[in-house]
Amino acid sequence: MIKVIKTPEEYAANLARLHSLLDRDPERDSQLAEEIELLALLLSTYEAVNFDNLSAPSPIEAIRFRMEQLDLAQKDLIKYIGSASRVSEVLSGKRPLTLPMIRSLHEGLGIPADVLIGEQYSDVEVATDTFDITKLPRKEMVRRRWLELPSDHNLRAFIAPVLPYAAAFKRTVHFRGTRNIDTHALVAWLARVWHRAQVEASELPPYEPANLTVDLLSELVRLSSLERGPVIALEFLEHVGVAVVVEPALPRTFVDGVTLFGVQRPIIGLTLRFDRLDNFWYVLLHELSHILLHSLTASLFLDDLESGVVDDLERQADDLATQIAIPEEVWKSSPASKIRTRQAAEHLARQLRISTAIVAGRIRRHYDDYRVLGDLVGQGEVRKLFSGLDWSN
Amino acid sequence: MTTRESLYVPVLRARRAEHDALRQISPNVRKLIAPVIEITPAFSEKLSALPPKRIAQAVWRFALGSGGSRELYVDLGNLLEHPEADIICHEFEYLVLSLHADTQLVFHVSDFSKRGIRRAGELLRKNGAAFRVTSADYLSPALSDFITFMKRTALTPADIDLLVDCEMVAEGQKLRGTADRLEKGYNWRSITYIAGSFPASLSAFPKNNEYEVPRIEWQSFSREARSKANVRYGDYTIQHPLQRDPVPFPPSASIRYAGERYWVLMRGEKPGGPNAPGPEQYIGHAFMLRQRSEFCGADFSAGDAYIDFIAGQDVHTGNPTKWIQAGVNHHVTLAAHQLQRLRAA
Repeated sequence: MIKVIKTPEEYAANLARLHSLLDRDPERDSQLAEEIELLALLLSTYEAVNFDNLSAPSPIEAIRFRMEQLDLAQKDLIKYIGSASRVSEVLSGKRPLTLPMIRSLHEGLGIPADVLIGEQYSDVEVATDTFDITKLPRKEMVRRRWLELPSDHNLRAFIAPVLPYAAAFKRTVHFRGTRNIDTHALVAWLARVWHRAQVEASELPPYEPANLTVDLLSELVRLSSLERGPVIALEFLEHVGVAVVVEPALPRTFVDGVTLFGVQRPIIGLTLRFDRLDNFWYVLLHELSHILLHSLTASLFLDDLESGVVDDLERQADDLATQIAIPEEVWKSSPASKIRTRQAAEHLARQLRISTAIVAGRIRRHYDDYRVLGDLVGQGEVRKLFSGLDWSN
Repeated sequence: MTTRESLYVPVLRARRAEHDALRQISPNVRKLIAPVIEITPAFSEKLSALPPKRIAQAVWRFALGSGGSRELYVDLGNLLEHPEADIICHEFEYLVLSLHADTQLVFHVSDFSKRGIRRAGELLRKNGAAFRVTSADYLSPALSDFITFMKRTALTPADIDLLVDCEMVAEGQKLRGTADRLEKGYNWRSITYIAGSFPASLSAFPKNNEYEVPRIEWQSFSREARSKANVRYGDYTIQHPLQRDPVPFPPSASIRYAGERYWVLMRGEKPGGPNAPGPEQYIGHAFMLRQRSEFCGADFSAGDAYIDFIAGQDVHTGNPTKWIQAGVNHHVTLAAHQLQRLRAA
């Protein structure tokens, strides 16, 4: 018989029971499924009372506190928030902080980013009212150990950081793709990338936009000629403060990569949906191009590069990624732009000191013909470099 | 001084590409070759509507236009089937003799019974002729007709160049012995082994790749030549021995280039297919060919100069005819030099 949880021992026992039930993969609406829901509710109630008892100051409180400390008037915040009316709306709680605002306030007034993000979390609490968390792939999330207990509360907390970006995919979100995407799975995946970035990038040097240049990326792409190039490239990006997270995709998300402009640094998420070297480099350069070109335009780019849907921003990122990998003037004068032979691809790769897979991928995209040079694109050569991840799906 | 034994005998079809390839052979190389110009069925068909004298003039013009060679053979092919073949031959004789050109007509076993050839009697007496015999001819009962032919035309074997046509040869196949009885029993003016191994179709080679196709005839000849120094060498350049007319469908954008022991085949794809490159493939192939060690340099021949030119620009692509022309020109130049080196060694 299921009872209200009162002690840590009962909490642990119920948690174990929940995990064992989840492993049995019960049918929807079955007795076991009902038991899971009930257990999750009891566990989250216990957590709410016993675990969640520390509250940070609200962002508005933090801003007002800092204004008082620095003797600032509302008009002094215009340079961080925008117009006078926008400052007024933010301080009165009528308007949530946007990411560019958070970034400015963090850098300009020294308010801890976590506190300002709290605003986003509380927004999300509102947003999650309309976000149907029951549609999250909670079983898969648990299987992947993204969270221990898939209670509603935990799920809300898990996805909360990315809902400002992803809630309804509003104007600050740029989404390339047309397929029938499971947006809930996509939000879950995005949240996972976010959380991993917070942990794995905590020791990274600060991100300085001026350090990330086209020249630097041209050097980066030369790492492709190395056997462990993808891994070394990600380490290389860490040195300039860009967090890159490789996270296997959830089913029906159809995403190759994401660029998410976090408060402290840009975050790139890669699914390695296609386990090919050419795809890895193209997606990575595409996302880096978004960082170079569009940091002030949108806060999130979700890219299904297989989709034919391309708007101006995507085209710009495509063009820059292509130009960084193989400069147009070099491409045009190369035999690889005219013949689809292994030898021509290898010749250009040697000339540019890059992987042949990148050239082969360019040739395939150029002719929109993916039947050619299939043996040169490094099929199966990427995921094995990230063997610590679960690629079983 | 180049001897007749060291002349290279390329067999070329009477087509635009081969004609222009020969015309562009440098004077130094012309001294080293004695090409056979074959009148193709298509050319013969095209000429058949003309009066016989005009046919002879057209053939001669074609042969002369390719010319400047020290010696030249003309294989009239189907024209000897023409109802007025005797007039054609007679007119051809007149044209050749009036220019004092060292030109021989080529006859096959099956030609001896044709009346046309007897009308070129003076040409045959002065310049001699060539007797082209294939393996099939060698086994034909009509082979002995050449004795009758020589008597009628007052020729002896010493007036006749024997062209032993091995046609398509396979790896390991010997050229010698193809026509043993003829070679040993008569004192011919010269004996030439002609053979080819270039494939009839490139379809056996998957598109978009580079291949090395063995020049079996040259490899065999150069092995055997040590024991038979008086035998001449001939081949079908970059063409299949039996493919006298071009294939009816548009060819792939491919380049054929002779190396010392094999042809380099830059295999492209049919231009202009859906999601496929067009004729600019030739530029890409030329560029890649120029990178290869087999490339002899722009100064080697007109064909090489063409490859070098196409590889270095982005506007002109050439067309299948131009690329056969360049390939034949290079091949003839290379094979002529190879033969000279072989003889010198």
